[in-house]
Amino acid sequence: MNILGISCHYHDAAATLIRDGGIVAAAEEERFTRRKHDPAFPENAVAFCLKQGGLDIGEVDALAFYEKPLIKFERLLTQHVQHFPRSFMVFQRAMPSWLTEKLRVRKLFKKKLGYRGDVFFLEHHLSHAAGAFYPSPFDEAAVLTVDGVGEWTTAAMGMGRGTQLELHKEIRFPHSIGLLYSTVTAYLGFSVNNSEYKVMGLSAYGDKNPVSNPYYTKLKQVIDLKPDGSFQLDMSYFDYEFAERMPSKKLCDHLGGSPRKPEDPVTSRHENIAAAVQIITEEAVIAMLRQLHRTTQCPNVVLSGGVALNSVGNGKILSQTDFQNVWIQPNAGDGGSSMGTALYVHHALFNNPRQIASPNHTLHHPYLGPSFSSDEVESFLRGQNIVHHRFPSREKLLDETANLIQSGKVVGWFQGRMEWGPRSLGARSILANPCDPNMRDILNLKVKHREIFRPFAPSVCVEDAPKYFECDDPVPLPTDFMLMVYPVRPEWREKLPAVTHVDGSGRLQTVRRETNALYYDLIKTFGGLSGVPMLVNTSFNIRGEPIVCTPEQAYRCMMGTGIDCLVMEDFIIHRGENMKDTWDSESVAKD
Amino acid sequence: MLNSVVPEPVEGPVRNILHRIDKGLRIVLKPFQIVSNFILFTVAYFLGVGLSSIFYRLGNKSKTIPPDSYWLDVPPAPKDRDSWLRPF
Repeated sequence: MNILGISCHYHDAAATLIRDGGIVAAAEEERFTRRKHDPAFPENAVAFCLKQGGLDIGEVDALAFYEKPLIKFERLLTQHVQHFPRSFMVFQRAMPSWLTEKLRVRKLFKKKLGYRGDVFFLEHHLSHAAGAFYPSPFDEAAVLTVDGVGEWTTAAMGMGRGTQLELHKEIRFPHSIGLLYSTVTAYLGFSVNNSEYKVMGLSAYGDKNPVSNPYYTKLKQVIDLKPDGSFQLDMSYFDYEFAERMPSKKLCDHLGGSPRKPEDPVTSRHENIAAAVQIITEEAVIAMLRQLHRTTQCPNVVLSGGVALNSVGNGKILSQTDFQNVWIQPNAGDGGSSMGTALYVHHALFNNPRQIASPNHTLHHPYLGPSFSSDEVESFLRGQNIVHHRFPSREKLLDETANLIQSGKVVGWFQGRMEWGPRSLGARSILANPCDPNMRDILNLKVKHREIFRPFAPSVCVEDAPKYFECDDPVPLPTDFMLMVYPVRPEWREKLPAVTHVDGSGRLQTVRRETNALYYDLIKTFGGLSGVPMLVNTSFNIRGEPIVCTPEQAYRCMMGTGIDCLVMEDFIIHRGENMKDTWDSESVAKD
Repeated sequence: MLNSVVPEPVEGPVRNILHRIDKGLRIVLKPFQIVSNFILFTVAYFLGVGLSSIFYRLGNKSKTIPPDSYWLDVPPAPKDRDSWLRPF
């Protein structure tokens, strides 16, 4: 049975194909259209999934959509009624797309895909929950979903057992931890639904002590957080119910001034505000998880929703709650819901058993996107007259790559199937030496063209992680997806300047040989040269662009930036040996 | 390359001409569409949303005391297959 899951229309449109419960392919539309967080109907992602599965649309047995559009529409109309006449402009802007597209999802599938079969609609948070539970390695798990907003729900908790999954409790709009975080993101001059992770990175520079950070007390007045993790926001501090701006004038006054403009300098006040919202978010999520454990008594927990991408908070889950095991969907945002909705239809509605032991039923790795063979890469290189070197021996390729990194080069790494989710995890990555004290500045200024305060992540083989990081033991599985931040051990902080954040933490990615042998071997080879088996791993893109998908995009990214060479399947391409591209990456580096 | 696998509708010559006329009309009528949409949505907003808002405010005068918990119960998921086929 083939089921296609789709999420779209808000941000991070994506498609997932499952066959008999096994995950065949999944990708986000932005990688094909090159529009970051593209919300458009994911026809390219669907086309890729069908191609990967060797199917045409007529062979798809069911199609699943990740939310119930009419319920969401009801919520929007209710907002407009409650906030008449202040909601006039938002009403004018929102209605055309609702009436022409968003309410006609079934028709859209027919028109864009030629699909005429059954379309199943799941509620937004149920799709999130399913995306966390069914691909997890647990037969039984407590489930927590936290994001901005779905139809009405903004956070939900429930339980999954075998094929069945139920949500029991929820918090409803307008009260939302995700939207509180986004409001502060907007206040700090960053883009909403895009740059929340920058606030997370910035928070490390602020005062993490709730007693001495004045903005913690101020933001606590905005939210009534109960001991059971439930909460309500004081909506007089927010305008997002009826306007396109998020913080109200009252919130701006409360935080001591007008919002930061995007290109204004970041001051210690901004850092402290970021730290305050991060602490409050962690307090709320930990309180929810403790309540979830009290009610379920289950040792396992799975998380999804945009807030589950907050890796700083995730790193505290096992130490601050009674859960023993945690799993987080690598694509925990809305894109991952396309996987959840398809799996829910397969297991819960069609009653097909789960096969946790089967490799493609449990999501052990994120490599679900397009790949390009060596022949395809060679054909591209020859077609474009690009000077390249072929390394048919895998050992020689790894030796040469490790040598380049050891000598201070920044390397583009393009191997195998593209990652599922927002993180580069060793398939479309930029790699560098974590021991080089200048590397962080080189990457920030010459390659990524991004804010200087943002940290870089390390990749380390799973068995080596406890040597360098104060991580949970055993290392939790979401660490493979770069979803947990842990302190770097004090004795290693000075030796790992490129990956140690200002507060001594690192957002590590653990690598297992069974899921990415080539990348694992590269880290080990580099360790043999440098004495530290670890690499800087940052996403293969520049600021504001989606991660590269094809050889052409990878080559263009290298030629337009300070990346020194590109390791693409069996080939190494040096920037210095090829004609400088006229494209100036710095000029397009924006959010 | 990837776009090539998106199914294209099979079109005959007459349908093709109609399709092009439709496309051309859409471009020509676009400014009129924007103006008419604005007028229609304004009328809909003030009549539909505005009147509903008056009734909503009349019916929501009472203030509630904050409860001990803000968690709300989620109704059980429907058992019948048809309810999953509805977008509501």
